Amino acid sequence: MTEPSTTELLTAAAAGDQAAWSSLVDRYSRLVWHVIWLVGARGAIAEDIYQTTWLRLVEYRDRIRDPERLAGWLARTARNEATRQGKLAARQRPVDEIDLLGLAPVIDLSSEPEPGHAVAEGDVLTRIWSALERLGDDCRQLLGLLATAPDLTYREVAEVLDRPIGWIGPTRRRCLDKLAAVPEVRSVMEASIE
Amino acid sequence: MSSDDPRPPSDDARRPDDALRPDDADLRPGDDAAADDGLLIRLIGEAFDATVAPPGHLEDFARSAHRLVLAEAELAEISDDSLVSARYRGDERRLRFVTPRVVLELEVVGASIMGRADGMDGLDRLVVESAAGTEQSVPVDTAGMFELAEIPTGPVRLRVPLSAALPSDETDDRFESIVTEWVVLRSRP
Repeated sequence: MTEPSTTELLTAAAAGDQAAWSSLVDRYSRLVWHVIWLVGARGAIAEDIYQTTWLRLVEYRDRIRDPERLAGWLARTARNEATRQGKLAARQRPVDEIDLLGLAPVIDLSSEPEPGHAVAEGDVLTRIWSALERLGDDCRQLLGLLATAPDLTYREVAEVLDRPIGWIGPTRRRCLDKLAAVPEVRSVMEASIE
Repeated sequence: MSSDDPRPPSDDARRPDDALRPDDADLRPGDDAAADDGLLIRLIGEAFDATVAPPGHLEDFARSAHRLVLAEAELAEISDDSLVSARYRGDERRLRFVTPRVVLELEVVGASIMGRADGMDGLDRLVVESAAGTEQSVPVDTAGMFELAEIPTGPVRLRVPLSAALPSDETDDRFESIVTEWVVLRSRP
């Protein structure tokens, strides 16, 4: 049996079908959380952004122009909420931290996972994650977004990361090359191809 | 290279890594990727999935968010928010929500809000709802002014029951209330 399309799920959810709504959450929850994480939000701020993003979809469930582009809509909404809530949090409790994405300084761009999120135990994934951590923020954010949301278009990626469209292709190439050059990653790739 | 780079596309113009034309903005960056790139991207995705998973209580919240639909409510959209608008320069956060017939204006001062509802004669109360499930009834004076001393943290919305106002020629029978978009007015500590 084929999976229902996002359009079908959204249409059913807008008509009150709770199961369809839950399926949408199952399909896109990780994308939303990963975008929030990639733009640097952590802790209670990240949770508020996540909740508000889904509440926004509840409000606009019957007004999404192109339901098959829902991934992009959610990613942009999460990003916009991150900007808004980052600024709010900065007003409430300003701290000195770097703000690489133009978000509020309270947003922590360190690559440490949330407490309780175990670093991947699989050897291959651990090596990939470890190599990603050693790349710069640009690479980590771009490759992370492309990996977690491969259906996003250039336009959507540019909006989420607040970068020019023309920045994406060359940066992607440079970052993939950098990552592939890490010896641990190279050995993983060679083993996978063999 | 910017998206309006005047250089002509390269020979391998379909490969977005090398040259992106403005018309290609709706392509996906992974289109036409080499096999190695695809493998690497897949492994990065798996590493993210294994490392940065959304907490279970948040996913439970998202699944249950559908219960917050108010089918008989008209949505008052945010038209201005001083946090993200260049039009405001003041220290206090100001927001404006609009429907075709009602304007709700809020000023956030510390943990409290002062507001004004414009366009609803006789409105005597509204409700502040939090995503956590709390509700507070807030009296509205004859000038449409209202005040709430302690805003709930996390996402909130204002609900204006139309039964709390005098009917007018503008009243739309399809709706029982007006609700604002969800918005965080006060972050959790």
